[in-house]
Amino acid sequence: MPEATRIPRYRRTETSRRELLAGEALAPATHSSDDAGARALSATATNEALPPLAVIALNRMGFGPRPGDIAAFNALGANDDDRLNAYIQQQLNPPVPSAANDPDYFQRRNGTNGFPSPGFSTLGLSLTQLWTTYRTGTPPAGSPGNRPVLEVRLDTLMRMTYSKWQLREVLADFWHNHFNVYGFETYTQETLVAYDRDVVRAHMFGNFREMIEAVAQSTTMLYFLDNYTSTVSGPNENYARENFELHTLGAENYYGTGSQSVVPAWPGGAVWPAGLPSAGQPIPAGYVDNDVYEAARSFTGWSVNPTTGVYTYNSGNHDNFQKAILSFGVVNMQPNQAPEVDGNQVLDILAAHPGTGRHIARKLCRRLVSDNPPDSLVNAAGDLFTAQRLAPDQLKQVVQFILESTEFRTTWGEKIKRPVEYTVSALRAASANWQFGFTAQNPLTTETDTNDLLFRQSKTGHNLFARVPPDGFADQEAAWSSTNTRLQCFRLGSWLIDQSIDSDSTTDDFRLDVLGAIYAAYPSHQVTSNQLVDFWIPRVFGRDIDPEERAELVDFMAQGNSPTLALNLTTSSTVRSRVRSLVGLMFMLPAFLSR
Amino acid sequence: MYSPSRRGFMMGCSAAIANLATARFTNMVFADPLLVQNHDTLIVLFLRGGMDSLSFVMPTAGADRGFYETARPQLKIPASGTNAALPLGAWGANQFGLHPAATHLHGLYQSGHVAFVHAAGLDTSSRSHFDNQAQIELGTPGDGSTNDGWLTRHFLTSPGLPADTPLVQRIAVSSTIQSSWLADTNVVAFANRDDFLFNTGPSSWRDAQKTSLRNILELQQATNPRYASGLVSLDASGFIEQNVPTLSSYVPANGAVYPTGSFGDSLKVSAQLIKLDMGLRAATLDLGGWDTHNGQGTANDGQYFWEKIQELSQALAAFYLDLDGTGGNAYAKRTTVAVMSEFGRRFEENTDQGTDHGHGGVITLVGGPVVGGMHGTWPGLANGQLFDHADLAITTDFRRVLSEILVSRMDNPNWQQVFPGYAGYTPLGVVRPVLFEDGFESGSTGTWSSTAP
Repeated sequence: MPEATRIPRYRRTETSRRELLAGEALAPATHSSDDAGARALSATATNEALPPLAVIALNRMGFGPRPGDIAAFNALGANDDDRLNAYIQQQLNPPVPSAANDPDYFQRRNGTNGFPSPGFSTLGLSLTQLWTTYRTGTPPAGSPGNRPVLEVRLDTLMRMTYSKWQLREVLADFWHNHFNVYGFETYTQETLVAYDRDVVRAHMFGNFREMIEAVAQSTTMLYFLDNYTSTVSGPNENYARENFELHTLGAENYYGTGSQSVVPAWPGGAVWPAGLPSAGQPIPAGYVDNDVYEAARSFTGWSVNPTTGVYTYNSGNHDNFQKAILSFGVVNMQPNQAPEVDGNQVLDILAAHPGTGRHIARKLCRRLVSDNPPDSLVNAAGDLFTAQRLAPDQLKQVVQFILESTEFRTTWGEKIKRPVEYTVSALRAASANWQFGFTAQNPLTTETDTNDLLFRQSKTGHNLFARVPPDGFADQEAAWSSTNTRLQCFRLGSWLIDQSIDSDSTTDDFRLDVLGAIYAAYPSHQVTSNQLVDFWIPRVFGRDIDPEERAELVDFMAQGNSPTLALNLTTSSTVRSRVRSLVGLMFMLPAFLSR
Repeated sequence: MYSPSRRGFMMGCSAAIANLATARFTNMVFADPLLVQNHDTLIVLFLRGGMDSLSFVMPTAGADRGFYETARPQLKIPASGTNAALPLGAWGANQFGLHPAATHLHGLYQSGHVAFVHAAGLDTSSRSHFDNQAQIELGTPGDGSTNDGWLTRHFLTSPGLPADTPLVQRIAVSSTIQSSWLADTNVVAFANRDDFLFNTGPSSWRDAQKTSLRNILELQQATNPRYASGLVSLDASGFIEQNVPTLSSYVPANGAVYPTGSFGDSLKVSAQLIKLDMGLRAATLDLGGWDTHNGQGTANDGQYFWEKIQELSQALAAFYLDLDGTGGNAYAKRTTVAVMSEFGRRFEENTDQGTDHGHGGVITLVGGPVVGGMHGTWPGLANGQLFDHADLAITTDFRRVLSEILVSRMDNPNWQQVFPGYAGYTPLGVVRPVLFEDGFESGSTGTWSSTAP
């Protein structure tokens, strides 16, 4: 055996959490598990300088700039602060979607202006129509039961890539992950159209209490977390547990098994507000398993009408005994309450708990600002969430607060694009003409390039509606820094620039508009390597990059010739393919990952 | 003999390394008998979702059989007759059996290559999937905020490693990395060779593009992990392209048949890498789908849990068979699979023919180094013996099992560093210690209490 002995780097003397638990008051059983990744990757801050606000806004309130987006942002005001404020106001108040206010998306969605129809047939169906057609009935013309989720996935990618209302798509993705369901199992695959439209998108600028009620009563979630079958004689705790742990209070406020009576009080002497079951009484700092069981009893009878697929309350299946929830063990729900009151009071309590505000705020700050948002920002946003709990635009207010914070405009690169965001931002940077839909020849078959794209996307570990556990995809760099994910993104970026619209290999008819954009800027088709690189850097990165990296890109383009030598794009197909490879190379650089 | 230059294949090195890989590493992968002989491989398989250990290994006779049948009227595995449990023999005051779908695994058990450490797991008060998975993989019960994974710390504190890190020393057979590897910059996440090649985009410029990418990533390699990790990806891709044949050409030994699908493939890839003798020491694998709150489908052929167990059992047995060679090919003797989950499930089934989140589970070990049989201490299933009056109690901390593997098989006595704050380690006797030429057992801590054959 080798004789060298490494000196262990780890010398820790930690009091175990169990010893801490032996005291009278419980300590939280855990920290939020996703904080672990954050700390480990805290060294992974970018070395970049702060870019213009346009770059920050378009990358973190959206999926990266398309050509013209930065100019449009800069036209919004006389200085950067004015522009950002105007952009925030614009994006926070999206109009009712229409072809007039979102033409680039709707011409593809509707198959107008020469674009092929995507062939969607389920996005306009009601929940009952979805249910009776795809779940209990016979789907049309052999269409599979997962047709609805396939269409939502394609439509979402189309919106991310083409919609002007980028923040709406960022938030839809955020809330889909927050209230995650795996989209490709029985009951979710047929109903995801309604979940996306009537639950997630209908409430994401609105009120959180209303949103969690819509989630609790959604057919999709009722099945995904089994509450549809939870009855007085057999409560199923799956939904109740994940509601506490994932949807509202978060694992950071979980005190494990143990008595409700020894959970400490929320610091600062907070009391439950009027109108809630324990009004005026102190708020416990968190929950224990007993709270989960009591909540599971409260939601018994919340189920689905098997004929219509719509939420229904089965009073005969409800547990009518008294309950004690987040009340130090004191009964705060009397027996025999009116129908659905027990469950609704649980939602009232959870939505009003300050821990929920902090939990949601931390996740929103993590999405919009950085992997490790400062506690000061999280706490302020969380306290606003709690203070505005009755406001009809509560969630919009919280998002606005985060976007208008100093941290939002002074933070860069402390997040990376996750693989879906990577792909979409590449499509946007190169004005892709991508067809997210089904083929005209066979309405059951996803368009070939899109089918391949989704396959390649799945290899990264990130694909829409494909997260099986209820926690949603991770939102921190540690989860997306694996050898494989990086490599799959290298492969994707290069693959994207190689897809052609037609199968005629003699034309340069590629889906990503690399050459056409250059021809428009250089009608002579005579362009130097310097010019090509400097044409594409602002489009791909939105900002200058490290000069040494630029020099490498020029070397790649010049291939030993002078960077000022004019290359003839008309006559040389090898130069044309090299230009496309240049853009593919740019997609592989760490600077393209920064958000 | 082993080429020093190949041993010098470090991740994060320069373009010259990639050229070396292309030029020289091919056909050298079977080279070094020392490397073959002098280390074990540990496969850590995590069953995500909370595997119902009491449907996997359950009492079939004795006082606890009665409690079991009462608690599991729908889900119970019969002790005799059709679809009866496969006998594991007596353990303490009870007889135990294995799920009837695990016939392949049962065969291995009978030949002494399977150990079940029952009533084992993470002994905190949490019933959360995500916190429990994190705390097990970080190796710090009660603390989910640890900065690095337990396998990360194992490799940082392991005294016997070669001075340079071979590229396939540690892998996550997965598209993303497990938390066990948190903060390990050298773990390679790798699922399938054919998907792992730098082979997209205009073909005439691929090599030039790769060179330019490498040049750019090297610019901030030392100061920015995003650059360094990009280089690891590039190096790993080149190395695997050169040295790992496509999986479809891989022929398992001894007629081993892996179940079709990504899980069977992940074990097959692991066997392929082990047999390429490239220095693989640890791999992490996942099998999800164990969160069976509803319609668990335990006791009948074709049902959900039945098929999960069948897949698990077939894959583990195929893996063992595939590695079970002689002489220089006696890989099974140096490979241990540790199968665990974040918790076992509630003792009483719910009325949806499912089970809710519970506590104690079973750690299953498979491999040549394993001391076959039932291990640990059975806590009993009477109500007063249950954790929180609801779940199987935990009598063996998961860290005790993993520490023993590290000390006895992986040449790392520093279990205190791998599991900071843990003080309870003495070997349970679940694996045989490696015996070296000098006659000393691997690891010098703890007392060996097993009567290893």
